[in-house]
Amino acid sequence: MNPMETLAAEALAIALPILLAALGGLFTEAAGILNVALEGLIVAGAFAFAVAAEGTGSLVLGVAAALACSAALALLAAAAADRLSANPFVAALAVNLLVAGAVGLASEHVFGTKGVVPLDGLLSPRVELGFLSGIPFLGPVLFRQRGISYLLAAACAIAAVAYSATPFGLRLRALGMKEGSLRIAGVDPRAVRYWAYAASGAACALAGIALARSIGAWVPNIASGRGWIALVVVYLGRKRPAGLLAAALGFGLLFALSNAAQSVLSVPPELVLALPYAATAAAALSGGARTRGRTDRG
Amino acid sequence: MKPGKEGRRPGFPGSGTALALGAALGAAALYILAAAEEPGAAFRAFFLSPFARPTVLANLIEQAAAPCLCALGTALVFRSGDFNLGGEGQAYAGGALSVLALLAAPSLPGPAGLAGGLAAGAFAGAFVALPSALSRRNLGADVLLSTFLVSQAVVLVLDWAIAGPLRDPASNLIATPVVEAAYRLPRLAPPSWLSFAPVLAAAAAVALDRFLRSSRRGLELTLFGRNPDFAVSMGFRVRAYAFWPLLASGALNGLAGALLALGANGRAVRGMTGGIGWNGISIALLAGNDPRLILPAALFFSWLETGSRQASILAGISVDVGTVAKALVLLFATARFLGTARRKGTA
Repeated sequence: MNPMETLAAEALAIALPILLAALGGLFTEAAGILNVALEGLIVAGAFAFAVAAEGTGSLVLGVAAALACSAALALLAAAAADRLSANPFVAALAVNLLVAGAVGLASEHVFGTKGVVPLDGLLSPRVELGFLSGIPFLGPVLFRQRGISYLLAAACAIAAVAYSATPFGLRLRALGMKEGSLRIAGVDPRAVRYWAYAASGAACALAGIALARSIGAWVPNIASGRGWIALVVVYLGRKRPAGLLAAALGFGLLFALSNAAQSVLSVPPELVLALPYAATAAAALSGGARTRGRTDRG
Repeated sequence: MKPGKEGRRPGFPGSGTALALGAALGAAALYILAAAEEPGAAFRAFFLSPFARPTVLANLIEQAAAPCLCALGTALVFRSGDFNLGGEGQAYAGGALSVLALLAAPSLPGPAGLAGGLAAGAFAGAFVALPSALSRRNLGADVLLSTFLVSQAVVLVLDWAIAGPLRDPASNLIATPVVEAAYRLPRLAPPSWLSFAPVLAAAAAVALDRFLRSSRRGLELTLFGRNPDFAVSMGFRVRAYAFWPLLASGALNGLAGALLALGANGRAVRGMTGGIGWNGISIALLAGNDPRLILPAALFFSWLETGSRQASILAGISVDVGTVAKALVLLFATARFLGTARRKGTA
């Protein structure tokens, strides 16, 4: 691959987990709830996957554990808000903190360390999709990715369709716009809200799995701010799946350029990592994400 | 994107606080029971040892001061109807600039130097909050996201600077050089690190409480936070209320960072804020954003941290148990339970 193809392929690989987490954030956002727990849900999913897949040797059980763990944590935030009238935003913040502490405790007990844990055989291999991988430029960029990236792309497509073209997505949007309309239609708004949280957790779990499988290891703080960036993507993408795709690809490109700058220009890694945050902050500061009404205002 | 108002809610007042405290302490106790080889010793280490020796207790009180200031800043912004998630970067910048200012001015009298260092810290925190405050006022930009993102970028840049150009090459620590001893917070009860910082935090809490409860501007600010449209219709200075609380919050966070840097460390250490911004939010919520309750809540958090550290040293319990306990406080801090109807529109 030439440098441009390498850059574009890396940008795509980085963008996909962010996009899926952002679609998860879109589910709750559409329902009128700011879910700032995306970061914690990604970490929880990745950790649960690492524990279950490494422990049982089964990818399927690993994925199931990740989905269950992240969805359960998302539902915990939902239940705290719904049953105990806790502030949904605060409950989601608490999930992030809870994951940080609980994962540290669990990692010590399960892996005997709070550090990096290599996951034998769980590194997702690169898969070339036949003649498609030979198409100039597009082939190397789109069709020589790791296997997990194809699955992520499929999950993103499913999530986008679920949001845009299914009764589930319609209910989410109706909930966010006018809760009463759901009641008139005989739909329980609380149930829709819980489903939004659960779907958000599941999407983040898959993003976490992808991160773990793309490096073949469990790394503390594996999300490295991607959950927060996903949240920004929701706003920059104007809460539309196509917009989210464009924003996520933009961030993927930014990260890929940062990585290239690090290796080519020997830029310190901290400054490289600061770049996407600075760029996102510039977007947010320029009004890319504006204050607007939502139900978590109380 | 406003995160919620803590107005009158159904359910018993204070029930969320009780639940938060109970859940935090219960989780710590359960974990100790499950994981400790000698639960009795671990219980004593976690719950009692912070009070067993005057030095440890004095350090516990000192340790509460900086998060208390951060929590006061959080509460102030909350009153204006928003959340400042950038406490971490603002405090880090405050700590770093206070040290840099004092390293650059080595010949000032001690008290003047210390005051200047603290002022530099407050300035740095406010400076980091400035872009978010400006964009909130002028563009209606989202404070919650912008404060967090700016803070993250600042944290990373400072991590690089302290490990690189600002690093003291003679030290094994990744840290700046130490400031003159005269510029550091005077120790009131050696060998503990107790300084006047808790007094400063208490004074700030009293001042904020007086401002919010007894001044016209404070009342207007609260009304603006609860109902901006009403504030506009009443002719309040809404542009000022969208700007100054965030700047003041940044200053309080920066001051907190300066206290950390000029206290036990005497220099800016990489990663020295260690989650103080998040702790400030948790403390503010636990206290219901009431300045009168923020110092007691900060002391409770300091007890949790000291207890988990003591249990780690004395009984081999992971310090992460303190993080889990704090998370549970946050989860339940705004809850009301055993009440009647739930609020609509929250899940």
